[in-house]
Amino acid sequence: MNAMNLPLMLPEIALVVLGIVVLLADLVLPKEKRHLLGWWVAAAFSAIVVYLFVRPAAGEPEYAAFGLYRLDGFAIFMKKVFGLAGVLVAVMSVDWVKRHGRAAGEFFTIVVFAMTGMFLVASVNDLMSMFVSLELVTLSFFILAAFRVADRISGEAGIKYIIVGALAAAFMLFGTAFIYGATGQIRFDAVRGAIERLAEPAYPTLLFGAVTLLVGLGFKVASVPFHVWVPDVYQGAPTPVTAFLSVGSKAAGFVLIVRMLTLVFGEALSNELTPLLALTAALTLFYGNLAAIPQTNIKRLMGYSSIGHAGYLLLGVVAIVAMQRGGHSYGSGVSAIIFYLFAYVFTNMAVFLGIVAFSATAGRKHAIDDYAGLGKRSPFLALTLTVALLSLAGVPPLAGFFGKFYLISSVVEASAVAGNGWLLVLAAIGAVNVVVSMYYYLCVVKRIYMREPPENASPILLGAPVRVALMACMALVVIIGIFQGPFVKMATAVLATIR
Amino acid sequence: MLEANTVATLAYIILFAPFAAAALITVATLRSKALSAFLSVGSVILGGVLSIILLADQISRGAGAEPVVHQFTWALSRGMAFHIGVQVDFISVLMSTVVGVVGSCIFVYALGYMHGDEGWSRFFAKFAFFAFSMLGITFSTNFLQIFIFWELVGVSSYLLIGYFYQKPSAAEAGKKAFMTNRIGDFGMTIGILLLFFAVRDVFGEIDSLSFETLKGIFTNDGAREQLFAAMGWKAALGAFLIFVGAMGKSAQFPLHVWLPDAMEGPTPVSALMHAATMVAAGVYMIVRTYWLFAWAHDALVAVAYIGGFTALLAASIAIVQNDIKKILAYSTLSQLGYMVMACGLVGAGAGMFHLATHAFFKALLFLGAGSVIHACHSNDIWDMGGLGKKMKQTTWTFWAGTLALAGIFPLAGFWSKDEILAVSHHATALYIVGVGVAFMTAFYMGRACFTVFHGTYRGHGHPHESPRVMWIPLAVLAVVSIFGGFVGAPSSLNPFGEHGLQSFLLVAYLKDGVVHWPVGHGHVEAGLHLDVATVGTLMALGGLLLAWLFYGKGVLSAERVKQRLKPLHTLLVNKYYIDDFYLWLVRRVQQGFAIAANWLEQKIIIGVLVNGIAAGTKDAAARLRKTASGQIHSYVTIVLAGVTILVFWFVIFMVSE
Repeated sequence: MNAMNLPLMLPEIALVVLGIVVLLADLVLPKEKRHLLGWWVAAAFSAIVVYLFVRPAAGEPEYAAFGLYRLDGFAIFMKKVFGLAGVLVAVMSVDWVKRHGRAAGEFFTIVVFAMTGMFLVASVNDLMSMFVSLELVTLSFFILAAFRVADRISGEAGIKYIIVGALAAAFMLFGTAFIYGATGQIRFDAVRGAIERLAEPAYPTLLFGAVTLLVGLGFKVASVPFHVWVPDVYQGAPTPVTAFLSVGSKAAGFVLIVRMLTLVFGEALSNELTPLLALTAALTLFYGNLAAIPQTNIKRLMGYSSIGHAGYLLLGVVAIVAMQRGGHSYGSGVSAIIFYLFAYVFTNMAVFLGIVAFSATAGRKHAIDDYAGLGKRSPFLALTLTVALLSLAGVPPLAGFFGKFYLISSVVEASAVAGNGWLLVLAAIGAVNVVVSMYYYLCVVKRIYMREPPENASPILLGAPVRVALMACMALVVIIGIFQGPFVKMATAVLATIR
Repeated sequence: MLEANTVATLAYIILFAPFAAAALITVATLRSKALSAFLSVGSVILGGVLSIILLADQISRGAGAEPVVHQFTWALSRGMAFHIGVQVDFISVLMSTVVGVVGSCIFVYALGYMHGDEGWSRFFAKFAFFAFSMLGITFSTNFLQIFIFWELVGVSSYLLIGYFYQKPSAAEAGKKAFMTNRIGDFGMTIGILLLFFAVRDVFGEIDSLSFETLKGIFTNDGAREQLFAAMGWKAALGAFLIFVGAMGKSAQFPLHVWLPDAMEGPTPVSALMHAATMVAAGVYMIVRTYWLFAWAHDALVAVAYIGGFTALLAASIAIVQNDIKKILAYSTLSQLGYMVMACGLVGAGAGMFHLATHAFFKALLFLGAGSVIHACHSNDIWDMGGLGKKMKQTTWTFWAGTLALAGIFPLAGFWSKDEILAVSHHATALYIVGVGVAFMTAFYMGRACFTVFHGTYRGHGHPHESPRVMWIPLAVLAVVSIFGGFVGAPSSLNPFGEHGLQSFLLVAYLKDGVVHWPVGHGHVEAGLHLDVATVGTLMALGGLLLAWLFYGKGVLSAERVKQRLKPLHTLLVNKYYIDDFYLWLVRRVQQGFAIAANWLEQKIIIGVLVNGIAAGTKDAAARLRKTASGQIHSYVTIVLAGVTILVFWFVIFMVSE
């Protein structure tokens, strides 16, 4: 553990180099060719994902940077997901950047740095590097969200994001300090060791630290009441950035929550955290799904939808903490989260690919009503959007249905294991919200197929890369749904490497 | 002998080639008729060829070889894993050969029959999809998989029966088939679940849906006793309910009503689904899961009597039908009853053998009928007549099919019918039924043949022989119908060895081949049973002779008999009033329920519950929306309020401890 072990961090090093190369290339390339840097980035991300696939699988966790960096199956898996999502984001950005024609190189440089942050988040092994990696991601997103500075909404979104984000970061740092204060350690395994030997008086300090740390992470994953930034930022940020946020903020946040619960806290705080997180999950589910109903802007709708999905993922988190009590195996919660994240990221990407492709032809129209008659304007796009939305709503046999199924069933299992009847209520809340969410997703589908397109509507044209990306997402959504076996096995295999 | 991996790969190719064809046609080649037809027909012919290779491999493995099972996990849920895969053993390969070879002939025939149809590509996509579903049943490794494909067969049959959806009667027939099958499927679902949970209760978390696992339990005396002790009366009930699923697909009384109506589909569909393969699925499943029935005696007795009754019922109706496809449809019902009866009499091998031979000659008869209909533009046998001179190929092949079906030595039907009569020999009542049905079969087929092909033409226009693409498949099927039965002959020339095909089937479903039946012990040697064969042949010849006297020579008058037996004739023409009874049930009894349920739904569920909740939800949504005011200071307030609540909660928690 006490070695630099640089080769282990090859993907991160490659990303940093890539960021610098893109920045320099931006100086050299003629202005009208700078958006092509997006293809470089997509290719580089793909290469890194391929490298992660071919590199020998990690058996035992490996460490680098003197124990600050931990590479295990979970980290590798999440990096693959981040990387693939990054490829999709780069693909959908190229066109957007070309149309907006400003600072193309900077845009992609920041995307690369955000990706570096996410890669590090997947591998952090101590409290400080956790904070730094996460802030690398968040700061990059501050800039990306406000990227269209001339646009009032985009700028406003960025400002709101920065202010609320700074507040959350402060709480996170606060919590980190308290945990350090209680245990005197910052490395995850050392903190855990210290917690096991913790003296009674230091316990409240630790709990207070844990709760405030979770406030900070709650901001990243958009759980109520720290979700306030989401609707405005989702609506105001450039669409590819919004898509990226759903991975960069939400997936990264949940990775850290899983890390903290499994590597650091263990069963020590299970008693106290279970009701707290269960309440948060219930509130998040209800808030996200109910507030989505009256929305008229599709990006804002996706913002509320993403709050709702944070609620579902929190179900898995509740299952973990509830089952940790008494040292039960909490595997089903973790593997359900992994399965769901995997399915969610690609489904969500498909929706945003669709939104980007639509607005590229139809102009910057993001009202749900603008999607009227899409079935006639582009049958392919209409079909992919519909499949993705139905998967988000949780319609079998698509990926989203089984994701929700596994999460809810992990809560039911936790209820049986921990003997806590209230968790069944939570599972029921999860199921009820599936029905509620069905409504607003189907409202979009209804407009796509049951409404006539506007008078002068032109067909929506899709470029080949977007088409291929959409098809790939579609294939994943359907295949994960129909053949869950291999994916559940994959999630279970990943789970085995966490401890 | 092929490697196990090769065998599994071949089976996967056989299974998925039609699926790939259907998918490709749907997404890519709808506009190109030639390419669509090529993909669809090619995939099935490929399946037929590979099936024959697998069959040869099974022969080289010898009777009683271990099945090759390959499967992968489809879904996982706490402690339960569900698999999809292929099980390759003699029964499944025999079935896939039947589907592949009969299917190839029918697909080629359809090229001629569907010529000029607007929905050409759509037809071939659905047809290939049907072949995929049927092969999925064939290669299933477990109850869940067989159920999934069972439903897929139901769906594709619905789509194909209602292929001429502009025609109301076709759309109605599609619905009728689907709904009648649902009743059977519902029973099957419950049966599978009963078995599934009982096995899990007794043996813990094993793969309790897998055929091989269950077979292991049922053929092991100790394990079986343990299971039956735990299940009690539910064991026989479970087996019977699974049989109810087979009753739906194989159209056994009282779920037989859909099959005659299903003749609304294009004739190749009738030939493939409602004669050769889909309706055989029920019998196939009984054979496939025979270990289950072998020890559930009460269920087995019910199976035998239901089969026998269906055979008799359908054969008697067939005598008075005038629509050539309806005659064949009732004949199919009757023959299926035969097979089911054989299964119930512990003669699953005989049932499976008859299934195989019947598929060939019944497909042949249907395609022949299609050729006749094509020429005369009518389904009514009284609009035909004297076609023997105008349609030589169709005539000789149709006669070959008729003689095979009647069971004339040495055609295919003779051998398999002989097996069935032999196993029923122990149960006198059913033996008499079997012999009687053999007589009636020969009679109504003779009636159809003499009326259609001999005498003078009574219809309109000038019928002429169908194109080559239609009659060559007929000839192929006719050759198999004539010579195919030899696989059951006790001869050293037989490719299946001296004891014939049956020796493979006997061991394929039970290792020791002996099962005790309450009515008698069923253990039948393969081969020729002289006493039974004599009786059977005499009956068939008698039936044909009588038909000739009535309709060929004309010395006996059908009209006079009809007058004399007026009440019986009316009863038969009205199909024993079973359809009318069902209609009455639906109109009077079910309609009452429907009105009550509709009121409950409209007033209570939709009016109060759904709309009430929806209004409440929308109201809540509108309120929540206001929390996102867009004002940054309100956002920060919300976050801080959240943190404050957390801290308070935290303090209270600490104080209370």
